[in-house]
Amino acid sequence: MNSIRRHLLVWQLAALLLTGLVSTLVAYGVAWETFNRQRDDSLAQIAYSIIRHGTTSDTDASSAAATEDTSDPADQGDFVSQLWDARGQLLYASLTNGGPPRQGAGLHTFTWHGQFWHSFTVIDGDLTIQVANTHERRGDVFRTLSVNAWIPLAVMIALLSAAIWWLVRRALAPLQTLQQALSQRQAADLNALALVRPPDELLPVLDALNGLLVRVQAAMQAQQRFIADAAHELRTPLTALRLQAQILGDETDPLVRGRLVQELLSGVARASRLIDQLLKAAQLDAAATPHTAVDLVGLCQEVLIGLSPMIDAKGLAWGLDAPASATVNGDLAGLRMLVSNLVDNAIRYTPVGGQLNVALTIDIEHVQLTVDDSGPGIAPPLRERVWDRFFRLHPGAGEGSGLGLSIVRQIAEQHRAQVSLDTSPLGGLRVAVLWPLPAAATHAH
Amino acid sequence: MKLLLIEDDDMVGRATRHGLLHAHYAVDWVRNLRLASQACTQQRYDAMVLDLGLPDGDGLAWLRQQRQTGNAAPTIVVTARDAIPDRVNGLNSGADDYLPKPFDMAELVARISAIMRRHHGQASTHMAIGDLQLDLSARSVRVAGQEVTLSAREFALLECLASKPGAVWSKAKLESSLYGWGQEIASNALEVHIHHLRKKLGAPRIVNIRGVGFQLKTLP
Repeated sequence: MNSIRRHLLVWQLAALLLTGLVSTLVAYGVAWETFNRQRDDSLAQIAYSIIRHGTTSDTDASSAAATEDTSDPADQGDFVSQLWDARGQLLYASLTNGGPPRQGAGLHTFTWHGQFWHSFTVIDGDLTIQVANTHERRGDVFRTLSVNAWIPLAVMIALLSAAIWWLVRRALAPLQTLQQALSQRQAADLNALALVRPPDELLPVLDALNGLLVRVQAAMQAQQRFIADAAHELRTPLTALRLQAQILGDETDPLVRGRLVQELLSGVARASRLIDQLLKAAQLDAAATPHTAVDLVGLCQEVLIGLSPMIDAKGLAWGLDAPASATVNGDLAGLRMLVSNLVDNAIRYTPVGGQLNVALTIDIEHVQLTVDDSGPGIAPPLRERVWDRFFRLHPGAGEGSGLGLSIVRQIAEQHRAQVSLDTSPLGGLRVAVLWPLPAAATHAH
Repeated sequence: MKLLLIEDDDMVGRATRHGLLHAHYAVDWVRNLRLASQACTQQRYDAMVLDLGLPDGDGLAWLRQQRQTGNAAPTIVVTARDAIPDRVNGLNSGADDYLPKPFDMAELVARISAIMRRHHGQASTHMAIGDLQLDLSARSVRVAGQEVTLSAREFALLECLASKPGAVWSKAKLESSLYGWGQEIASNALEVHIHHLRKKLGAPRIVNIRGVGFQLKTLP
């Protein structure tokens, strides 16, 4: 159980009780000592007082002993007084049973009849005067007195405890306010949190929370914009599909129907490609993916082989220039999409009979992927804009989604690689992707 | 009836043109506003279908400009932007109707027909010229109560002649109303259609004004 409140309360109250206990015990000890000394002193004072007031004559001593009437051996008084003559004869005792035995001069403690006694004995001429009281009696008196002392102390401790408990509660109240404010929030409410006069300790927490909310809000807005853009972009391809299907339904001429079916299939292909690209772009916006070692040479070969039907359909001359292997750290699926998008673009934009070349090079600092084509290229003024989502060089024509290059750039950024556009020696576009080492691992020639 | 289709997407344009031809309209298809302006200076269209996502400018601004320079052709605006402000903006810019994407071919055709009707001040889909009754949606005609079967071209020709009662149409005007770009017209195709129409409708309804053109006469 990990609780600030509990921590504070337990330790503060423990400290309070401990201090209270220790100081009580010490005070008790000191007071008892003082009390005993004072009592001893009283014994002496009484003894001397008896001497000063004079004692009765010897002849009256025994009658004095006889006339003393005490029913309680412990006496109603606090002490017992006794008188002996020089011969050791008890002349007077305030107890019926004669009282404790005669001690030597001075203060003594002894056991008599199962009790502890304190006595003070004075020898004055022929007489020995002794004043004594029981330890138990002393204790009783002391306890009665001390109650008057420790009851107020206990009350004070109780009040202090209550005060501590209440103050801790008050001090921690802002945490509870914060908790309530947060738990009442709807999921969509990403506005900044505000507490009325927050304590200094909570300010950094609040600031950090609000910073987080701002980031989440920005991410959510970006996502909403993307969804809206995606839905918008999908309308035209879907319109084409709908119309193509409807006119197919209305057409009776089989030759024409055949052509319309082909049109419809192209329309479906375009819509599918757009959806694939949209999904990938959405994934890129979301979580980061784990990185492993990826051999770019193998990846390029795989992509080119996969796209070879398209390449052959356009009669392109193509090839891959690469070392035996070139490894970088990255997300395999993402890198595959990057290479695939670049090669796919090159194929689409290169006219029939043109050229397509993919190259991988390694030096001490970098791994570079280059895709060259002999198509129309991209004019320098447009080279900045082509990275934008949904930007198309020839809107309306072809099956492009406008997302290909923006996805390439996003994947490159995730891998800390740079992408650049240039004019290709083949006459068309050159796209170069540069991965810095130590992102690149092993290589071999 | 000749339409101008202004649409930049290849597939949507091809499919729309096909569907409109199938609905017996003649269609000229342009892919951007520059070509659209050119086409509008070369001839008057009976209606326009304007897609707003064009690469070379804002379709609504172009439409407003066209309205100012006297192009009153009834226009349907077609677009992926479907919010209320977009619709209001479209209609306020001079559009006669607004159709969001994706749309049905049948709905497009029906709405084009509706805006053209309205443009000609006709409340219903029926047109009566004397004892001729044209059903524009069924594309059929009754002569003095008797149903007469016409081919698509013949009906289109009749519809043209009947659209402005008493008006005289030159051969060139009739041809441009019946045929779009990319459709081959034999040099005497129009005369052949006129001939067939005269035969089917009986009586000297279609008059050839020498040197000027053709006129549909209203017979009681």
